Order: sequence, then structure tokens, then C-alpha cells
Amino acid sequence: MTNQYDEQLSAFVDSELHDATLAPLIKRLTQDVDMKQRWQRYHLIGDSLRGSVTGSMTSTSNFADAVMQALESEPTILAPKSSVKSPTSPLVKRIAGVAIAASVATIAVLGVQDLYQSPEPSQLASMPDNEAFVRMPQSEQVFSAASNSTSTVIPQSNGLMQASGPRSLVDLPNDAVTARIHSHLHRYLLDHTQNIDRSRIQGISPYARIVISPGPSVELEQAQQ
Amino acid sequence: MNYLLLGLYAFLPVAVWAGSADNLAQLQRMNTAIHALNYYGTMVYLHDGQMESLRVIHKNDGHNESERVLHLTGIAREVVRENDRVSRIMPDIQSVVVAEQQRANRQIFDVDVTNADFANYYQLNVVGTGRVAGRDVKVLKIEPKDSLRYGYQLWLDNKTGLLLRSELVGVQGTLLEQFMFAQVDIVESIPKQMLQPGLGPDGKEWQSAEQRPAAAQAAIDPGWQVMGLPAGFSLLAHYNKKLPDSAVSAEHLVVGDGLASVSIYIEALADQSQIVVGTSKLGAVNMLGSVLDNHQLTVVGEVPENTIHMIAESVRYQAGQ
Repeated sequence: MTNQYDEQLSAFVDSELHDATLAPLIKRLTQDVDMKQRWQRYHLIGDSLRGSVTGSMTSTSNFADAVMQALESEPTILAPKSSVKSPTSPLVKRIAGVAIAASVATIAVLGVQDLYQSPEPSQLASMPDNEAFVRMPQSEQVFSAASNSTSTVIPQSNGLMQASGPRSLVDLPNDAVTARIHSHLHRYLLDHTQNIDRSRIQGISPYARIVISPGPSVELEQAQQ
Repeated sequence: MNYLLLGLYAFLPVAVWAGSADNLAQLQRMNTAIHALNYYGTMVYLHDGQMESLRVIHKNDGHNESERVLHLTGIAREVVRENDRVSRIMPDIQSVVVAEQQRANRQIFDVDVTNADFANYYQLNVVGTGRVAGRDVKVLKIEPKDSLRYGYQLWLDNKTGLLLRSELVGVQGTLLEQFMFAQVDIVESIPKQMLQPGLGPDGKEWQSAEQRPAAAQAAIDPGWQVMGLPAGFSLLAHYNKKLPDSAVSAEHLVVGDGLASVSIYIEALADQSQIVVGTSKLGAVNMLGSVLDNHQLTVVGEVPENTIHMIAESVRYQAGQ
């Protein structure tokens, strides 16, 4: 990997890359496996430093395996600083530049928190009330907790209930309930998208959202772990 | 006057609008380009702190419009659309869901939203030029005038008007979603093969696994109405349809402000234990589930969560309509 791309990658991580160099970097990123892996490692380190490693990395018995598995199977994880330009953290930049064979060990040492951090802290003030997504369970569903049709079951795993802010569809607790909820919501999302297809003002392809959203499969797999 | 969301590629009337008829024409040109051109490329999509890439192929031969969006990162999901028929293919769970936009049993409202109304809620300006996917672009900014809606920044190809990059901006300027073509080819025509879904896990071509025959639909129930919508929003359409995998048919109301649109689905609850309540989001899309009068309400749209709540609260049933 050339130095030029290293630096660009680092700058991209810190949201400092100029527009003109962004496109070729991204193109390369989508094609170059080595570069992709390095990208992932940069962010894992940054994320763990900032205490924002996502829920998928937590509460598994074999931590190292889970991290490696997540690295392989998950889409690249970006530090949550997409638009609000935060001052460059020199510490992160320095660490990102270091050879990263021991990234897994580094994360273990720095500690992994259970909390999921909202990517949009500035929206918190305007949110009415942040209900966790709940589901009234059916009697034959995969539920260990006793439940009847009038009770509310709030997913408790991973301590995610402590998180505040809008909950991303991606980061709901991983179990069969979530899978059903996602599957349920997907139908509406697909139908709504077809409806807004006529006017494409908002985005290049609204179908992109449907393709990208994890859907029931991801959650089911994780529920079995 | 044709409202943007109604009709096929309806044209926005060109009139004095927040200072620039030309900007409005740019939007109009963009919408046409997206639907009318033949193009394919690789797109990067950033949302919720994740970066993914997609293959996008769009074909229009003058008679039929089709497109295919293929997920290049992680699991190879895809969506293939031909005119109004959309197939969602999820190879990981071996599922193919085909949904067809139903034309029967709907009521479209001729909303008389003047340009002045639209300008009350959005400000449209060209804010610069640039270069995306190797092509020269101009940058159009759509700025909401209140916190009930999202804003956009659009990078439009100078030559064709095609949207090459877009940002969806939330309340207080946070970026919620970013799309960008890393590379795109705009061509004369596209071979049909490029729009065929990918191979299934057994190496064979996907068959349309779930063909849903057009079932006889009940007429819409005009008792379902919305009252006291957030400023700028009005009812655009009312359908009665059956969603895939659904036992009951749903009333589907669409509200919008000319740019953003929100869908409200109302389904009779057969079983109390099937209720889904709460909020969730995916990139720019917010969703809310609640219960009204023994009906499941689901509200979905590209608007802030506040607005979704307000819209859900505006739903009423008035018997005897």
C-alpha cells in the first residue's frame, strides 16, 4: 500500500479529506481488500478509544473470535463523526499510523463498553420520548420471559436499554423478537419506497435503503450465538 | 397544476419561487434524468456510521423502466424493479418477495400546493460547483425552514442533470445519509442481462419464488382521515392494499409537503398479541408503530421523528363518511 493512500485514508478517517481526492480513494477502498481491512482497523481502534464500539462486539463468550468474525462479516464501521467537524484527535491519528497486527488485543485492553452511542447527539433535544422498540409477544414465540398479550416486553440484553437517543434499526438487541420486528417493518419500508419512487428528489435510489438494511437474517444468526 | 409526487415524472411548474425559477428547473431536470436515462455504476452509501457500496443499474428503453440495486458489501441482497413490480431478493434467507404497486382502489388527491407554499418550507439555492465520479457538477442545496423536515444537498451532473451525489441533512445540520456514485457510465442502452437478478445459492437462476396474484381488493375506507397535520403537509393519496405476507389488507395514506413523503398504514388487528409498538430508524427513514382503535398503525417516512409522531397523532376515524 502506498504512503499516499495511507495518508489519505487517515485524513478520511478524520473527515479531513478534500472533495477532489475523495472519489478515487473511495473507489480504491471498495476494490482493495488490504485497504479495506486497514480502514476497518483504524476505526475499531478509534471507536474503542472513544468508547463507541457497537453492540455486536459485546457480550460474547469468545471475544477475540467475535471481533474477527465481525470484522469479516460486517460492513465497514465508521467513527460517528460524519458531518460535525470535530477537532482532529492527534492520539487517534498516531495510533492509526502504527502497525496494527494486535488490534484485537488493543481493544481488549482498552475495554469494550456495552453502551450504544447515538450517532446524532444533536437530535436528542428534539426527540419527544425515546421509547425502546417493544413488541407484544405471541404465545408461541421464542420467549423465555413469561408474557401475556397485555404486557410489554422490553428487550433487555446487552444493557442497551441504558442507551439514549434514537435507536438505529441496525443495533436493536439481537434475538428472534428483533428478527420478527425487522421483518415486519421491512414490508412497510418496501411499500413506502415504491410509492416515493416517482419523485427521486431525496436520494439516488430509495431502493438502496432496502438492500442495505440488515433484514431478519442478520439478527437470526446472532440470536443463535 | 401537477403536484410533484403525483403522476409519472410530473413536472414542477416553473414560477417565481424563492428567487429562482432556474433552480426549480434543475430539480425537474434531475427527476427526469433519473428515470429516463440508461446508466450503471458503483455507489457508496454512508449512513448510521457505516459505509457500504452498491451496484446500481438503470434502464429505460422508452417503454419500460427497470432498475437493479445490488448490495456489494456483506450479504448480496438485491432489489430488482421492473416498472411497478419490485422483487426483493435476500439470498441469505433464500427469500424472494415480489411486490406490485397496485393501481386499483386508490384515491389520489389533486393537491393545490402553490409554489408560494413550498417556498414557505424550503429554500432552494445553487451553492457551488464540483466534480463527482469524474464529471462536472453543480451543487444544489434544499434547506428546510423549520425542524419538521430534512434538507438535502444535491450534486447534479452538468451534462445530463443526473444526480451523482446527495446528502440528507437532519435537524441542526447533521448528516444522516450520503450517497455518491464513485463511478458511473451513462449510456445509450443497457442489455437486459444486466438487470437479471444474480444467481441463487444452488447456482441456478432465481425464479420468482412468490408470485402474488392480484387479489380482489376492497375499496378504500374514507372514514380514515388525517387532521391537524404538521405545517406544509397534506394528504396526497389513499390506497387500500395488501402488503406481502400480510393476512389483512391495509389502508395506506400518503402525506407529503412536496418533497418529503410519509406513509401511514392502518391494519385491523386480528390478534392483540401481534401489536408492534415503538419507534425505529434506518438512516433517514423513521418509523413508528402504535395502536388506534384496535388497529395497528405504522408510520414510515423520511422526516424527523418529531414529525412522524405528529403525523401519527393526526390519524382519525370518522364513521359514516
